[in-house]
Amino acid sequence: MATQFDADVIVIGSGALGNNAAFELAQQGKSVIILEAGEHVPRWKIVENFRTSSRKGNFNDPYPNAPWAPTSYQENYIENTGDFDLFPGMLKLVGGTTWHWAAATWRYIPSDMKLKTLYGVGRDWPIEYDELEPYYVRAEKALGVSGSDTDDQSGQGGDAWPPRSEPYPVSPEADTYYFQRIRDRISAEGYHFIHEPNARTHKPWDGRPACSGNNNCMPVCPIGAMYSGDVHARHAENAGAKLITDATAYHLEKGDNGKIAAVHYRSSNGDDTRLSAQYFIVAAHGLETPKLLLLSDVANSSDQVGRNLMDHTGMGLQFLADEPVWPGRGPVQQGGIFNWRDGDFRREHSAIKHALTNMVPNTAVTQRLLDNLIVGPELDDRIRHDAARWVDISTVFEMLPHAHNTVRPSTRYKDALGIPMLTVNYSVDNYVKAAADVAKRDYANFVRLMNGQVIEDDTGWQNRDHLMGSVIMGDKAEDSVVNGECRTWDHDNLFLATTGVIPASGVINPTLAGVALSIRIADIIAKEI
Amino acid sequence: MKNNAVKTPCLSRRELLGGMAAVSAAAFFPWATRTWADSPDATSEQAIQDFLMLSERLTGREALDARIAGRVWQALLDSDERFADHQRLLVQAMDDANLTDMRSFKAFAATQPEALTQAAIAIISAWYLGFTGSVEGHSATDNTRFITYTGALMFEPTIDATVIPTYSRGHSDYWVDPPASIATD
Repeated sequence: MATQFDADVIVIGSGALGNNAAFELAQQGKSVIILEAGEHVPRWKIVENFRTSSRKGNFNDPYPNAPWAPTSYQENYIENTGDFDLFPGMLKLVGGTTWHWAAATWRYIPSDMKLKTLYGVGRDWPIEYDELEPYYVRAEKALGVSGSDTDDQSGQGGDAWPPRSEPYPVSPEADTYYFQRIRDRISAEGYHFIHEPNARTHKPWDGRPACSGNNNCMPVCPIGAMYSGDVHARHAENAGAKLITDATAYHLEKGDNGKIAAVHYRSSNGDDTRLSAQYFIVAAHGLETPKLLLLSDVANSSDQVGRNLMDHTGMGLQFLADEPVWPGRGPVQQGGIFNWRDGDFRREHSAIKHALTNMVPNTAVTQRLLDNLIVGPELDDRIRHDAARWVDISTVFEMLPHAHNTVRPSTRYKDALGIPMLTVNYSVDNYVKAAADVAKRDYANFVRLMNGQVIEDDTGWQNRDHLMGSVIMGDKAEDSVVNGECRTWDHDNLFLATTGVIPASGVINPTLAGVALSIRIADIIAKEI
Repeated sequence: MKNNAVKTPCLSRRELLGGMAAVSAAAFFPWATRTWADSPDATSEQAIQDFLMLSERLTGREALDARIAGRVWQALLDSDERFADHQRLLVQAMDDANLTDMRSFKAFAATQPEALTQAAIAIISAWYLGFTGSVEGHSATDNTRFITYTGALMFEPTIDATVIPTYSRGHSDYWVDPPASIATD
């Protein structure tokens, strides 16, 4: 008698990656269940939460923070034990953390994926750029990416790179005046400014309106011009997938022949449910995915689950330029300086990306003036003067995977469902510290070229919320969790759709690569069912 | 962890099943707690009027919104039990120093106790930033209280050039040009 399953495929997590895999599978006629710990929340409620919040700089604040589905900023959700407090802003609701991500959708370049071979550090990806390229094309169409087909995104001032088999779905939006002025003055000394490809287009796409410069990509785009994972929750449901909310997966049950037989989830009223499937995709981001595997004692014959954790740990520069450049008009970011994206220096120190932040700066400007007791008419004058000249540069560094940078289920704290929270041990190595000195030299040049007045040029290490490495991909079962297909070495029906598989971080936001890998997972599974 | 957030309740399964009904709506829906209902109800019109006048002196503005004044005043009273005393002493000190032009505030502050300067800045800050208290990093909770968003005075000096975030200037790619005022900015 044939075995009966609750679904062909169960996807755990309804973020951009899980939902894109679910949509592709449902569209190919497979029965799909998506489990989401949080709830569906309409955009207008999140926008109203933001507008009525006193913590507008806290990008998790407008989102649901339930005792059974907390955001990552809830106390004790993450207990840090290392040198650096890793606090990525992660959400639990339908659509996941791409509700607040600013939608940068870079591709990795081929050399990013061969770091060990080319530069002798870190690890290589087990797949090459050419294998991923067709899936990048599909991911860019799924998300509606606008970008430049002519930039050398390696930052070396050469021809268009990396190779593309199709142009970007949408042309690049206009450069902001702010970007133009800073580029015109700083590029004079050989700094290459690159337009940022972005899933937030200036033309309507897939039912989303064109961006009209509401300047609030983080923490919520009020009009849904920016892509967020709820788009493909809707598409997956329309294609026939069943989305179950208030369903926190806490156990993967092992079956015969090394397969995963079922997932167990718990709802906020304490009910437990067991669901079986032929295939399972865990898409619960770079911290919750390894936690679920460790709690379930699966996929960890290599002892690499929850190790090699990487963020693009960063730093920042803020200064006042000598002319009005007017940040705050248009989207919150558009690109940056990529000279240190690739080169032989990567043997010695990490790659570096400097990005221009284009957020309306009035809160920071005003706070600083009040701290200096500037009030009355002078306060109004200075707000306008300083807001017009405020330049904010956000820098990220390439990280290397280290076994001692870990995420584990907490042994001290549990959520309201009785499920362990997280313990993170994270430190920044000398490969990154050496690059920080290079970045600071750049900072001095930027300030000199803009004849600027420094506000802050040594912020210390900052979170960038790009989780990678924690369920690392490799070409050997002995030292990695998944193979180049994102299939776990230990269970051939268990795939991981998370940027946590990424073994070499580069400096670019990893979500597009994660979506491309997720679509590829769907294709692989669809062929096997 | 470095923030001051309230502890997450760690309930057992039995407690969870029995206690769910007792969890307030605010835990499910943070927006449920942030309404205009925070406005003062048991305070006198005169007290709010006094606070409004002090606010207008401190900000150098002539026609601040009385409804927002009530919210600022209540938030400051609720977050600092000494605030009413500091307000009274601040008015007295400003009268004694004949402080009418806020361009002299720094010199005035240099002669006053730190607490009075901070009380003055707390009032001005609430009007300009639209909240009271201090944001504690990424903490899920802190001592801040929301006052107003679009009414925050910090947006007025730039309103012709940039948006109040989440609102729009109308159409894609307008940002390719600088504000019309660029020559004189």
